[in-house]
Amino acid sequence: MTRMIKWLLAATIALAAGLAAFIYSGLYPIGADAPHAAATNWALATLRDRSIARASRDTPVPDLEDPELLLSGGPDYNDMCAGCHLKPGRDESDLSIGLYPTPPNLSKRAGDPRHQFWVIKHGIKTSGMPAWGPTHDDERIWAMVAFLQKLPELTPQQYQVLTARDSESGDHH
Amino acid sequence: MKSRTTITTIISLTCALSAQAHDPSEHKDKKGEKPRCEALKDMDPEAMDRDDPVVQALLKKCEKQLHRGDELPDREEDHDEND
Ligand code: HEC
Repeated sequence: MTRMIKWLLAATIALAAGLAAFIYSGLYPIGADAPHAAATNWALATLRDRSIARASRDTPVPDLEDPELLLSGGPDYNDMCAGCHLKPGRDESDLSIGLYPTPPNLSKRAGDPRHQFWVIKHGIKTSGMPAWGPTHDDERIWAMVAFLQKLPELTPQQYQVLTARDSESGDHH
Repeated sequence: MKSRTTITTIISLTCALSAQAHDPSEHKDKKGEKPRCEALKDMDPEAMDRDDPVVQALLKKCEKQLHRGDELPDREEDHDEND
């Protein structure tokens, strides 16, 4: 029995040493243009989805069916997010093509508002998704969530109207 | 993992900065762009659901240009004839 434990211990140490050697060797292909193996993809996606679902499960969702939220969330989305997450009538950008993991096209389908709020506020590690919480209050983030819920049903024309920042220029005639 | 974080940060920053430097056609009308409400005139008024927050938001944004001040009495009407 003690023999077996010794063997197990030695194997574990060898494995850890091998892993450390691999990390240190520089052999890992770090490029964003070298996709993960299927198993790595599964592990990372599951890790992300489970973490977001657990962390956001008790978040109370405010009333998102308010036109004022769309009018404040729309221009914020257009300025800060559309470059990565696209918009009606635009299916590709340098960022949507080049980033890995790929930013989802948020004009195609609306996700769970709790999950969206959490992701916008906290960001996602080791991806291009920034945390906007340090620089934006919850109200502004919920306004973007309200906008995201409607985004998939907007035409390019409606999107342009809702996201235009005309407040400064609206009254100069 | 550390180095991936660093790399991701660099990629994100590069992207964020180049997004501004790179796509001038998008950038130039970003601030102060006027809503192009003419496009909405094609929408069938009968088909518009007044309870839909999207419709309400569109009307609110365009009330001046579309002479629809009467939809939302809390704003004064503005007779802008330039479209
Ligand atoms: C630099 C590019 C970039 C910018 C800018 C960016 N994101 Fe993201 N975002 C990403 C990436 C990449 C992911 C996917 C991360 C992953 O899958 O691990 C993501 C994921 C998300 C998700 C989760 C989507 C889902 O259903 O899985 C939401 C919601 C989101 N972003 C909203 C926003 C909002 C709102 C903004 C603007 C305030 C924004 N993002 C700005 C790159 C970006």
